Amino acid sequence: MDTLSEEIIAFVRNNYARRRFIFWGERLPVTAETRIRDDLKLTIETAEAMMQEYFEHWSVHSQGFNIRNYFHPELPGTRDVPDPHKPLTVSMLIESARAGHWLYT
Amino acid sequence: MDTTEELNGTYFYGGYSNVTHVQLFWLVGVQVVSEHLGLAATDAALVLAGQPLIPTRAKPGSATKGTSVASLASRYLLNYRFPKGMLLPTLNGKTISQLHVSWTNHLGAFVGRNVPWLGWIMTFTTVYNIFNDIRSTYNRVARPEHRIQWTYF
Repeated sequence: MDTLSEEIIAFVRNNYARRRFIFWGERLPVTAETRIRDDLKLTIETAEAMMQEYFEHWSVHSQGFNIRNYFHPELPGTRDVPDPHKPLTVSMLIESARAGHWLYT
Repeated sequence: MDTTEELNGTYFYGGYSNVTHVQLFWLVGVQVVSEHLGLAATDAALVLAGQPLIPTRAKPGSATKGTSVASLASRYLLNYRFPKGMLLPTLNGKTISQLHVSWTNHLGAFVGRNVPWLGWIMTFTTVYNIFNDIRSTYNRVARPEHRIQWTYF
């Protein structure tokens, strides 16, 4: 556990982990293994905003990052839209911040 | 009942005379439905606004539909993010069996994703109200032996 991973985990937890009763209560726990889509259950717009914030704050090159690999609009009737559903975990954010560019395809 | 007269066991309703009780039921039905049509159009508009018909930005050649009028309009008009760390629930799912709650911090996405469900609820409420209205109007006009005693609505 170094400062960088603690910073990124705190960033995700304080901004994108929902509270138990929406306005109060404990936030969902966030660790390096937390999956943004399956555990935090963000919508695609929110996840996109989060990644944008992340790329800017830690000056990571977003080359090669496509939100559609990880997220899906999930509106009723979008069954035929491709959904690779690759896992997007907090550890991937940490590793890419270390490298300075997005490491995964 | 100024619009109703009874003649030889038949009814007079809305300008039509010599109407049997079955015909009376349909006349009331037509009238009540047309009274509710404005509201029904609102419901349908809310539902249709949520259909994912609009192509999203994608790599050249692979335009995929994936967003809806409600999403686009509300994200454009209500482009406002909640305060840091505040997330509100939205109801999503590719199909009905995959329905689940997802969380957003964007007011436009919150409205855009929930409006179609509001449309569905209002549709069923409207349908229920139409049938309820038909029954009560019909029962007010019809003679006791022709009244509907018990229905689902």
